[in-house]
Amino acid sequence: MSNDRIDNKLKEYPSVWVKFAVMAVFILIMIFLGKITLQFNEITELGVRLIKGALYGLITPSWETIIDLSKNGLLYMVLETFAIGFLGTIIGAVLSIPLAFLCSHRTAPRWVNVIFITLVTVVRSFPTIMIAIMFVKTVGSGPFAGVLTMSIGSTGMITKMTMEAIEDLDNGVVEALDASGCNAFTKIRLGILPQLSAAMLSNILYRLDINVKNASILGLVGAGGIGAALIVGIEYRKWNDVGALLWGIVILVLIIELVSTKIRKSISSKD
Amino acid sequence: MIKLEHVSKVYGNGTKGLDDVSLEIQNGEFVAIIGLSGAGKSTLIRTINKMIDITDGSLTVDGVDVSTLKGKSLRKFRRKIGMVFQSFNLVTKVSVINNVLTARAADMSFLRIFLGLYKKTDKVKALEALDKVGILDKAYIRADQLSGGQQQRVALARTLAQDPEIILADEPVAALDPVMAETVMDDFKRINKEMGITVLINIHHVDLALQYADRIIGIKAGKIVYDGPSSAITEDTLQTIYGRKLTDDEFMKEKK
Amino acid sequence: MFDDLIHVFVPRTYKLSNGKIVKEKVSKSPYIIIILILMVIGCGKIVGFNFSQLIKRGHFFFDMLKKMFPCNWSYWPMMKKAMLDTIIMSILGSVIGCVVALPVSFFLSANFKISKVITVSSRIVITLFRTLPIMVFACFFQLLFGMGTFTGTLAISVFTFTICTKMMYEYIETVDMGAYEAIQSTGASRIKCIWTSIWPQVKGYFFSTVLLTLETNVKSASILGYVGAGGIGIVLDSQLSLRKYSNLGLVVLVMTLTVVALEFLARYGRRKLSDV
Repeated sequence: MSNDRIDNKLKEYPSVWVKFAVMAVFILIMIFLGKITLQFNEITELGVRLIKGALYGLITPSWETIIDLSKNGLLYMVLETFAIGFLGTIIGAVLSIPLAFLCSHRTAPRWVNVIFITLVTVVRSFPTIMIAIMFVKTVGSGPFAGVLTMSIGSTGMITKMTMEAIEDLDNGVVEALDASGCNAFTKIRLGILPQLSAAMLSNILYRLDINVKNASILGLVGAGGIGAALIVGIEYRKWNDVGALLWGIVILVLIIELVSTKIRKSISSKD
Repeated sequence: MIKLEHVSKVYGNGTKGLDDVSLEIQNGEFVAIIGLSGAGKSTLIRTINKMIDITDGSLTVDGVDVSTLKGKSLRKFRRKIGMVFQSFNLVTKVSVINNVLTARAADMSFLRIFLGLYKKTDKVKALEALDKVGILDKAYIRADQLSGGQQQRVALARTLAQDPEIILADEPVAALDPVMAETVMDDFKRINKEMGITVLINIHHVDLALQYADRIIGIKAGKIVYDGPSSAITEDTLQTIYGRKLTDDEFMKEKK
Repeated sequence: MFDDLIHVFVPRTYKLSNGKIVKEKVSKSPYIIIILILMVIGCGKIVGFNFSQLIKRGHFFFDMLKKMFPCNWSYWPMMKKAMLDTIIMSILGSVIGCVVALPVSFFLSANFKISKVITVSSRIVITLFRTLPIMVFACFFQLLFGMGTFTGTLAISVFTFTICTKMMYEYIETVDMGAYEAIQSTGASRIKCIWTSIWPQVKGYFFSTVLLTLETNVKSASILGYVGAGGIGIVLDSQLSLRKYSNLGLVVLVMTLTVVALEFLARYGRRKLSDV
């Protein structure tokens, strides 16, 4: 009797073979993709020598570059990279506030949402390197072009995050203000901004992290920062310079990450 | 047989969990441990399967010195001791039967667990365990969709699927409502009587302890202050254990 | 007027009718705002921020766009392979990076009390690598493996690995350890406990991390071609230096659409995963 019941239940045990089949197909697809794209090169003796030199450069960074306080020195380049990331984030944050409200269905009509969401999505997905190139053509090479690039890029990202934060908000307050006959501006000022500021600040700090890191590659197309010197260093195999520059990036990004994590934690613990 | 001789436990921060505890528990007993929270009930239960190390004295289970066990021998030893927790400790995102099957994990190869290829005998065992606690029909539901009482019975089934000789239960009914608490306690009692499994249970509610257990151990500040049959407990002994009059909080049902 | 201004910095005190004196809470925000403004000015000086130049020459930005669009559709067959490479490099890199990161992140979580020395030192190493931009990895691997998609995939894998590891071990540390303890008490080994109790709790987050990294990787993979690590970046660079702007337009268009499409797919996937 009881055995029958257990046998019947046993038959209901879900088959694991479906799961296996999905896994197998996935692995096969990955292998297939690898087969059609990846071409394996032999590791050359030259390559090994180069990478050894590079690694040696990392542990023996050039002190000349580190203590050089001129515009070609590490300190200035690190500072410039930071400035690009920082200004880019600030400008992006400022621009994103009105955009986020235009994108959210809570604060703007549908047709406005559609227009601005499309705009922000396109801007966000537009290749950063292309924006940088276009700004270099516009204002000339240098960190200013970098700042403009970063601003556009982070506007897209911060708008998206702010928009999501607006969507997650508690609707009660806004409804209450609606009921008391407030206009859109008052609704935003009194009902949404106070709730939003913590989430926004945290998003902006998170973005600062990423932006400073990304600012170090803008030099690739002449948009300032530490990247240009890095590329030159690698091209001419000046490994000690490269080592110094990489340590510069590491320490800069680490400090910003530490500070921003700390502030973000204190924000979230206040809630 | 569980045998503690002059067992002490001092935590890293200096607090005494257990203070010179000696006791013997025979196979097949139903023992309830009562006392204030922080008196050392959890510590006592957890030293028996070495979830907590003792700092002094000797602790043997069926003649095996527990403090010498580690690695493989400890894991082998733990297989015959089941454990039930206050917060059920189920894997919430997984079906009930797979939760019960985790109890068999110790005996299976890692490859089987990794792939989720459980043997038929293990599945049958898991279903039988679920049947014993009366929730066979819930076998394929996700554990977090069950009520608290049902979840605790899944946890009990998980322990049964392990074929234990001893069940340690740490406040198993504290998170349940009175009706559910009694059903779960009934399950414990039945398991103890029908299968002869030793049950050692920490319990906050004095009335349940007196109703179900054959033997009561009262702990106060890490020391045993009462050890004897539940029938011999009086108001006075309870007052020594708790150091004060009992409050409503110590009763699951209305105080008589 | 001046009175109000000073109270931005000095908290007001009020005397209530019952004689109690109430002090306003000291607000930090005016100081923070002043620091921020000073930083903005300082950074503006460093980068040579020049608003009038932007206004005066701003039309060049749009001139470039005008030259790129309408784009040259017939260029598609020539760039198809490079674009596909970029996408596949990102997919493979994200998957490989995350799959390798998974066991490592279990190893690095503080939950399981694995040797503290090893945990902390490995975390430091990974953190150091995480601060580097993907391009640096690409440059270094290019030295060893030469130009091509293999280098790019490797760079993306390593980059993804550093990010995914951190996200995962931070998440694993927030997971409920009750079930782990329960299974441990049955005498199962650590790895069995992890697989039966922790993995079911973190797998949803893991899969959405894979999607998230894929989304960002497709975007960053486009620059890898610049340093010889395969993909669409090479095409972008060559068409730019040849001043074939209408070809460039198509490249940019396809890249943008790919990123948009992936973002939608990833968002859809993450929503599906939210309850796994």
